Amino acid sequence: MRETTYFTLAALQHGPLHGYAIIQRVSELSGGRVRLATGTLYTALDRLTTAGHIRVASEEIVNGRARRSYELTPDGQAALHEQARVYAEAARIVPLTRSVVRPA
Amino acid sequence: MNHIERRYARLVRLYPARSPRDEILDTLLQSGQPPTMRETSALVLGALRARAGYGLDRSPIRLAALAVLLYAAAVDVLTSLPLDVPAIVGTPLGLAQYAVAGLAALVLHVTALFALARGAYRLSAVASVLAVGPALVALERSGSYLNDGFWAAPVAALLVLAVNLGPRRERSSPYLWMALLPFAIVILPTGAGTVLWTSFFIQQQAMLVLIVIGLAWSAVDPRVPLAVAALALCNFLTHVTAVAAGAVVGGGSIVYGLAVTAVPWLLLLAAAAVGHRRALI
Repeated sequence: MRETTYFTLAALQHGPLHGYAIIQRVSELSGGRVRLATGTLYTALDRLTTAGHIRVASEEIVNGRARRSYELTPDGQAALHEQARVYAEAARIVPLTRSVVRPA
Repeated sequence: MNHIERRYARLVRLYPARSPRDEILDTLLQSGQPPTMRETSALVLGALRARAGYGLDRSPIRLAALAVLLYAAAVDVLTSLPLDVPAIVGTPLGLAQYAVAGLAALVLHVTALFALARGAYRLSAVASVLAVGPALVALERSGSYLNDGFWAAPVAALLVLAVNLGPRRERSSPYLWMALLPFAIVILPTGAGTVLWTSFFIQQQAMLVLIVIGLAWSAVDPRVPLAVAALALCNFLTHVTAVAAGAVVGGGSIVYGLAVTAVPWLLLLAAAAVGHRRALI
């Protein structure tokens, strides 16, 4: 799973969000490191919908335009948890406290 | 509609009608920012990807199989051209001419192309495998078996068999492919130079253009570089066959020739692999 996909799924873990809210949530969750362009977001949403990881939760009309909210499916939840486990396993093997190497 | 909205609306119109254009525009306008270079390029690329329609539910090699079937049919047209119809009608041994084999291969390759485009994968596999024999016989008997199109029929059959391993049936119009046949004869390396002398020049330049297009398009749709790689692979295999048959002489030039014909399809294959990885979720 690509990093942007992971953060997009993670953004939806606490409930449905619409496109702009997903972009903001992904930025927050990644500490500003992952900044999704709208074109990139909708390519990802299309692929995640096709893969059955997300689905449209609701649709409302705002300023005469459709605004849909997306939510995780059980498959998407499982894929997110599996990827989180992989990242946690990978992080476990590298101690985050910097050790000082003394010359012999 | 203000200036920013108009600029975003123009970009969003690049998306196909089935895309949620309204919703994309709404998301863009919520940012309140004018289009940046980053946002514009993401929208253009996103729109091209949406129009190409490549996804994990699509076969990556179906387009390659269709392209090489077209190539094989183009080669068959040339080998069936010298067909002597009066000889077939007038003499008992009139059927014993290579153009008859070429014609049989042409009918089978066109059948395979139609069947694959229509989603009849098994019929396409049967027709493309049956076409290999007559296609190679026609090329060998016509004295042009070391021409560039020699490997088109076997590679097409292998690709169609590989497409059959995929679970999903895709359908598209076969008529566009048939409309491309005259261009394929002139543009692709069919050995048409012996019949159409201008092809000598066109085919060299056209293959280069196809390779550049294939590499450039890999960011949008990895099926395109894969299709061009399959065409370039036929060239490479023909070159290897010519070297194995002793038709190419000179130590250094053999290695150089093999490298020149190997690099394009290897590059295209790598570009297709990178494009496919980008399409993963």
